[in-house]
Amino acid sequence: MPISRLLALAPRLLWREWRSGELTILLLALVVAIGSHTAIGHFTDRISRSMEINAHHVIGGDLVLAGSRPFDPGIRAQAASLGLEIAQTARFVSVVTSGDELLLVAVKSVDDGYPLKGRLRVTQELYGEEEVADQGPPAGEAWVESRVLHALGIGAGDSLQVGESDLVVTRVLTYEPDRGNNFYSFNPRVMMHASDLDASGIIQPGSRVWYRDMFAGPPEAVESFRGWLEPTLEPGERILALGEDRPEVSEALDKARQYTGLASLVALLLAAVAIANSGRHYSERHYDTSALLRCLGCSQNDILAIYLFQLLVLALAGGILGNLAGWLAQSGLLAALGDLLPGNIPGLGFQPVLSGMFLGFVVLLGFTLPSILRLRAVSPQRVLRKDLAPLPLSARLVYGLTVLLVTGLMWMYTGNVTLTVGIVAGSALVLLIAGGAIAGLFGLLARLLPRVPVVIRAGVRNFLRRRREAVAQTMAFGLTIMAMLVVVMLRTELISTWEETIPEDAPNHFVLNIQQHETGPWDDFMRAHALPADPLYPVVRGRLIRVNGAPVTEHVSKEDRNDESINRELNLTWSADIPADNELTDGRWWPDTSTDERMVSVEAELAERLGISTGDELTFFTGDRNWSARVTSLRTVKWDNFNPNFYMIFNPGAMDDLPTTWVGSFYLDSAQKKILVDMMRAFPSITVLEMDAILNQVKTIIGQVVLAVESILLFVLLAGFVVTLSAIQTSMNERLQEGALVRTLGAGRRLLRINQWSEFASMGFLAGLIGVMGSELVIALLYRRVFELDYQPTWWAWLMVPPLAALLIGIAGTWSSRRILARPPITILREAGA
Amino acid sequence: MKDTLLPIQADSISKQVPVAAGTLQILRDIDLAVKPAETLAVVGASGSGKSTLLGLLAGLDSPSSGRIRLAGHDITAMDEDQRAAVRAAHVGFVFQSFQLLPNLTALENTGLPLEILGAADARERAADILDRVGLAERTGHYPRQLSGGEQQRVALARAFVTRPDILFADEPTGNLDSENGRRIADLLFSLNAEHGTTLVLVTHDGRLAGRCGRRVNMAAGQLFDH
Ligand SMILES: Nc1ncnc2c1ncn2[C@@H]1O[C@H](COP(=O)(O)OP(=O)(O)O)[C@@H](O)[C@H]1O
Ligand SMILES: [Mg+2]
Repeated sequence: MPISRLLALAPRLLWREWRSGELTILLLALVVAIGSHTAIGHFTDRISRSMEINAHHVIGGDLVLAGSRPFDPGIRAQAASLGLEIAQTARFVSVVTSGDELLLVAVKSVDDGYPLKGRLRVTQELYGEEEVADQGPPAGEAWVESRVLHALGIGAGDSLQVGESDLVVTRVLTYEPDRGNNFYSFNPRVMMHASDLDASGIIQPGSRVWYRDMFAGPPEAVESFRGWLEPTLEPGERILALGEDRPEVSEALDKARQYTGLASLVALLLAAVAIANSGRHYSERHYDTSALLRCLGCSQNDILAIYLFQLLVLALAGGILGNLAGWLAQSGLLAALGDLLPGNIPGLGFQPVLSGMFLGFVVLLGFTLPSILRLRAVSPQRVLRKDLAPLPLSARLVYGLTVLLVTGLMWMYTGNVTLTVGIVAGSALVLLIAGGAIAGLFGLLARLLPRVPVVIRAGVRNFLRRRREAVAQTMAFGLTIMAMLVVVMLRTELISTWEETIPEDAPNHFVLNIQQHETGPWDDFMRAHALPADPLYPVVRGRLIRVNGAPVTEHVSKEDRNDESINRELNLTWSADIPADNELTDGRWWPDTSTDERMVSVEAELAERLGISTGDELTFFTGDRNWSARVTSLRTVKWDNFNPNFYMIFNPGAMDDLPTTWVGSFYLDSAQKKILVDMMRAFPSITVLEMDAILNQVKTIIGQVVLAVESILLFVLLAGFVVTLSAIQTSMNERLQEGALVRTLGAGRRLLRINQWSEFASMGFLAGLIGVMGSELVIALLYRRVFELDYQPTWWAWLMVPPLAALLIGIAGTWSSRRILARPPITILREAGA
Repeated sequence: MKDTLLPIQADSISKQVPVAAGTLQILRDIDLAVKPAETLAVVGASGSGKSTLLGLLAGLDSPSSGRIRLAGHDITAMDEDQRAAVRAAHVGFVFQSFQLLPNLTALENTGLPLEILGAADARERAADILDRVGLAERTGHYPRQLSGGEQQRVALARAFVTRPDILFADEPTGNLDSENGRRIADLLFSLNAEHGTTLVLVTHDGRLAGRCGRRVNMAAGQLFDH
């Protein structure tokens, strides 16, 4: 047939097909597949860009260069030539004075470009109204944390001396976006302008200063700058990675990204199942049509062309509608979430649109082409002999292709090989086991049939009779349930992990330097103000100076020589028990409690950096003397739990003769902040670290992540719904006919309804079992390999899901089959015969 | 030379198909010639191979051996697509089970062969012939809204709308009650007479066969002249 004639015929046939409503489910499946894909794509693209923007605030720039010497000016010149914004800070520990008072503080000098990311928050006076500041202090001024004022006994407007510079305190600093996670920078902050730094004369050769140059700009510029910068780095200089300062945020982001990848994949898979289902059904319905068209003179290629045309139009329509739906869904979502999201949501990206269109073609063609190719092979003789179904394509070929396609799609959309292989292998295994199990169950069911209650016997028999169809359908339901369970369980687990990370009333203030004799009054004070009194931890300050007798600086590599942990005093503690969330990686926890020997357990990463292993002898310097302890264990520490954590923990009694202070933590909400004034008055020597601003920032980011995860679940559930619908729909014609026949033969509606119900319910129950089995398998794998969560079997799922699935699929199936009951059998029989 | 003018000529055709237990011989060494405008009935018991023969003659399938000429073309030397072109140009079909497309209206079903041929006036010609078979009022109805007899009338209209040289009919009344069957047969033969079509009709109904000009018997895959 000439192309022009095909182009006239194919659209006409498509239109007639569409008019009949037979293509609706196929299109719906397509729209959901593409819609959920693009919605998730847009949503996560925008949210994660926004989260990343917020997260970049915490290191202060898109790219941050850190080092212990001033950087080569050429670096700034290069950044400027690439159009990047630049800010520079220097941090060091120094003594400031005001009148007779002395205080050890952490000074940070900033230039006019600071801060590049995020904004400072300050108050005009102690605990006054918070306001934002786009720049740091101007020359001649100092902005300080509240505890500087407490310690020096001064207020806003008074002056303090840094080296030889006289600075007026004009603001109280409440929030520094790039403050980082360093709980151990115990010294209070004094922020000053870079130009005062030289005047102060405080930095001498040999002073310990940490410099940071921060850069921000368009991603391409940042990347090309990074490419230029990396090879030029000198020892002691390094590029800060996002997450070095805030591991809990970067971890949450990573997991959320993996989760969204997984969820969009699941949505995709579900929709693909729906498409494959409807596609198969579509082509089966067209055996007769193809045969007839062949009789009327269409060639095989004409048939192929006609159906390909239909598919392409469908894919295009699905692509456009899906994109539209996806766009609507994500804008609706963003609008609904409104206040919960940061104001700086970036605009739509084009990538999800393209990949959505592409997806439409790949999924539709990939999953229907095998069926369509069979249409081409329908013998025209079929009009004479009904049983002439086309030779099936080799099942292995079809399944092989499908698996290949799915694996490719997964890999493409997650970029994660472990995840992809895990899911594909898991699903394959489940299908294999489930297939065998179902076959076995069918056998069992067939044998049990005589004992099945009479009312549902016919339904069960029905189910058994359509064995092949039923197995396929049960597997499809099972896969659907499995996929949805994985997504739901993972979501629950992730969210609870995140929420545990920062419980609502997690301590947001830390207190240091409580003297031995103040511990009693401290408890009284807390009780008097109705504040929950968390236990106090003993702290001995000490600097690590030797490992096995050799100076620690010789013990470490050149790059680690500037490690902050060996260049300042560490907080050392003792404890009889290992902290709850620490885990030993080597050695034993206090192997021998009877000796007087000092023993120490060292944080594993620090030990690795400093080359410390169990059995080594560490020497510390405290006050005026050196003392030693033997390393008996290494352990990991969860730094993100917002409790006091320690690099070094000693056995009880090890430090009895060393000067000890106590540290603790407590929760204050913003309305209670004024209690701090009383507290400082009652305990003049203590230091209070106010972590509430940083905690809130982290909570905001985690909250966004949770929200993103929750919303994505919605799309997955929608996709699951469409699959179920399509699966039920595709078996409906046959059921209609059968139901009508049974009714003609005298079966009452009640009986018929019970039959349908028991058939769908038994299918649902089996599918539920498969789903739980599969999800346990996949989750066990994912938790360990990808999400680093502890896997525990979910017993409730085994108990709840199969009956629930039986109920839901029973209802859905019976509801879809209500036509069988609602209309006179004769109408149905006649329509079915046509 | 004379042979090429025959609408249908089959020379010793056989058909066997592989089945589970070896091969099944459905047709054995059949010779058949049909003259222009002739009406031929193939009569035989169910399962004797009538439909298989019809399919072969119409080029819906190829014989295992032998040669078939259809409307002057050696269709046994053609591939499926070439045969399809011959069907489009020369052949019409009527089937026992009507074979209307469920999603097309009576008018669209009737016009479909014309659309495949690329005729510009498909609608008008389809409407005309539907009028001729007495369904002028039902053009917009779908097959499921029509009775069996009405559906078969649409199928007749579809078969004749292209003015085929040859019409193949496989048990055209097989699915109808006797009254409707008689009416369809009347219509079939009068349309056939009007168009001067060569007709090959397969049936196990002796009375229907009696209305054809020539009858052959089929039994166990072989033809016997009446
Ligand atoms: N493709 C095939 N495979 C197996 N058996 C076939 C096939 N085609 C026809 N037959 C068998 O050949 C015999 C003749 O069939 P058919 O031509 O349909 O007979 P009729 O139309 O006379 O009733 C039947 O027994 C049928 O089952
Ligand atoms: Mg037959």
